[in-house]
Amino acid sequence: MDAEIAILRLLHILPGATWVGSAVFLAFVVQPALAKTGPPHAPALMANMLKPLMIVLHGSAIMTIVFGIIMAFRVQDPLFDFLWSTDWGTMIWLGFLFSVVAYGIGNIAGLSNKKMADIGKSLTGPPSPEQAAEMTKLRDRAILLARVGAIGVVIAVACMALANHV
Amino acid sequence: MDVGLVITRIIHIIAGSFWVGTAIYLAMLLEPRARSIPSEDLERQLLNRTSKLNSLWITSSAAVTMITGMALVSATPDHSFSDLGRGGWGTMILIGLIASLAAFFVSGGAGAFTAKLRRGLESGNASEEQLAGYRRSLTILGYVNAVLVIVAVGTMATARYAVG
Repeated sequence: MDAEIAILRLLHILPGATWVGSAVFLAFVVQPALAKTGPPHAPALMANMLKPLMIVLHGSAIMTIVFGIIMAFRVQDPLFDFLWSTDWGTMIWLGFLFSVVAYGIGNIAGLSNKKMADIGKSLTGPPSPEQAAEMTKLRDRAILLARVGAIGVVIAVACMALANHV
Repeated sequence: MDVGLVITRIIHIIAGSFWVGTAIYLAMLLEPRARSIPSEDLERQLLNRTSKLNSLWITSSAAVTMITGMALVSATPDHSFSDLGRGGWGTMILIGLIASLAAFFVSGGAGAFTAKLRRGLESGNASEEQLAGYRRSLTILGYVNAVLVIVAVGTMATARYAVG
């Protein structure tokens, strides 16, 4: 039991830390820096970085959520009795809710970045005023959504960390 | 509920997550991808806009993680600093502590090479060989840092389940 929980904890916490840190760093450091750098470099770098970024963020988020659910079922049996009737359960489902919503918002931010990268890739010269305006709109939307998503995962972590103490 | 302990734990976990995620993001994503676009202008602009912020971000999150971690060791019921290196819990925490200290210094070294690279690109005084050397050192230190923080988190997260 202890070894199983330790392994599950490792498989939940390591990807969780990767997800939270990467999301916050991307939203509050990298994206604003790229926004200031502007074309032609920023869209080129974003296009180049998007695929591995999505793999890391999707992979770490899915691992965190899946192993978190498995761990919750293993530590409290039957889980659903504890989930709705205890303070521990309230913090766990709140954390789960925040993490799933943050993951969804992060996905929408990723789609905005992808659309911006696609426009960047299609350029053969400087962007037209319409293309530049569309890229700016997509970039600003991606930055805003990435920030909201990052704050969501931080709140999810805080809820989970609180669960054992309430 | 010990409110002080809970707040310290939340700060420790959130700051630790920033540290780990940032280290992994820099080593595995940003640096290799930025290097794959052979543009010194992009590199210079990115370094100008992010290097100081990166250092501040990593150093602050690392310092907060370690300080709150020490506070947690002393506040953990049935454990104290005298347990470090003894038994399963003490050994895991000690390994985590050493790994996080090593990561802190390695990221400091990476910060120094970043500053050299940024200055070299700005001034144009550094030779191509010197710039290549700085980039190589940065890549190696980035990976070492990422591995060390993963070891630190792994040992800390499983310490309470360690036998002995």
